[in-house]
Amino acid sequence: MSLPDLPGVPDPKQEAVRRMLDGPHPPVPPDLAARAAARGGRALARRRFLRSLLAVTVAAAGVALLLWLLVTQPWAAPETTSPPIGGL
Amino acid sequence: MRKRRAERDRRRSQEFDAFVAGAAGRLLHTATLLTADLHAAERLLTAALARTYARWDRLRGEDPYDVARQELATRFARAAWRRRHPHGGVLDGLTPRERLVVVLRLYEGVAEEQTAAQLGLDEDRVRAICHRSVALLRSTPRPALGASVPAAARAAPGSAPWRTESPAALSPSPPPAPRLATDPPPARPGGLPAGPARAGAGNAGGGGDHGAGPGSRSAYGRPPAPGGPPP
Repeated sequence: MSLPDLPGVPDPKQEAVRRMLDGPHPPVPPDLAARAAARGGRALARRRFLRSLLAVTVAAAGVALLLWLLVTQPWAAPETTSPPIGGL
Repeated sequence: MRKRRAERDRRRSQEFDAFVAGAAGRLLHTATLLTADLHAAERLLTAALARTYARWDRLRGEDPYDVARQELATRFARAAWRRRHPHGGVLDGLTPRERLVVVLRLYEGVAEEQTAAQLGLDEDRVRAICHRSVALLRSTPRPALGASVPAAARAAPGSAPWRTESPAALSPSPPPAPRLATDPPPARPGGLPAGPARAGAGNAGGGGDHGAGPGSRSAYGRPPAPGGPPP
């Protein structure tokens, strides 16, 4: 039942069905391209906006990290917090 | 940078318009075979073309026709399994999956491996579905290609509630089933002439190939194609 379809040897039954499906194309609305391009353009603009938003967020996070490093300087040794042994 | 982007937008628009002019007829035919309803097919096609437009810059030599067809198949599969099955049309009685296999394999001529990959099935399964559907389609009498109304309305020809037939759409011999209306509302003065535009458009993505496909006439309400099934 499941014989592989040989390329180049058209199955007559499939050919009959193919002819059934063929025929005149339905009329295409003339504004189809414009509407699709408008929708696609909106999707593109949205994607572009989200991508720039992400870039801005990453940049802001980077700047914040840089500022924090400059202020806290975690690589430097900590100052002594306890008083010396002999008192003040 | 803004000028470069505007340049790119303009080029994309031009290429896309050329592509749609050439390929929309055939893609709409495919969509109508799947959905069996012209309005649903137009919605499906608009969405698929919108996504193709959004992906235009990232195509990199891919054929936009293949992309649009894949989008059609994916959206149809997702929508059909969520909502009710499409009824009517030439492929009446087939489930959405069977419709997809028949339309992709037989009408579009996609190879078995590609069809299986696109639909997420095994090749054996695709082959089995194809054979079973072909047997079913050949065994029962089929409505004509232009018919996309449910069976109940088909019993009373011409009484489709949302369609009116213009005198131009009626063929000399009485049709076996109600036709799709070819009397478009005033806002849509006739369909895009698919034939001449397809022949003349220098499509970027090889959309011009599909102009040579069979049945490029634009009127849908004509009598069945010469190779149509015996009534």
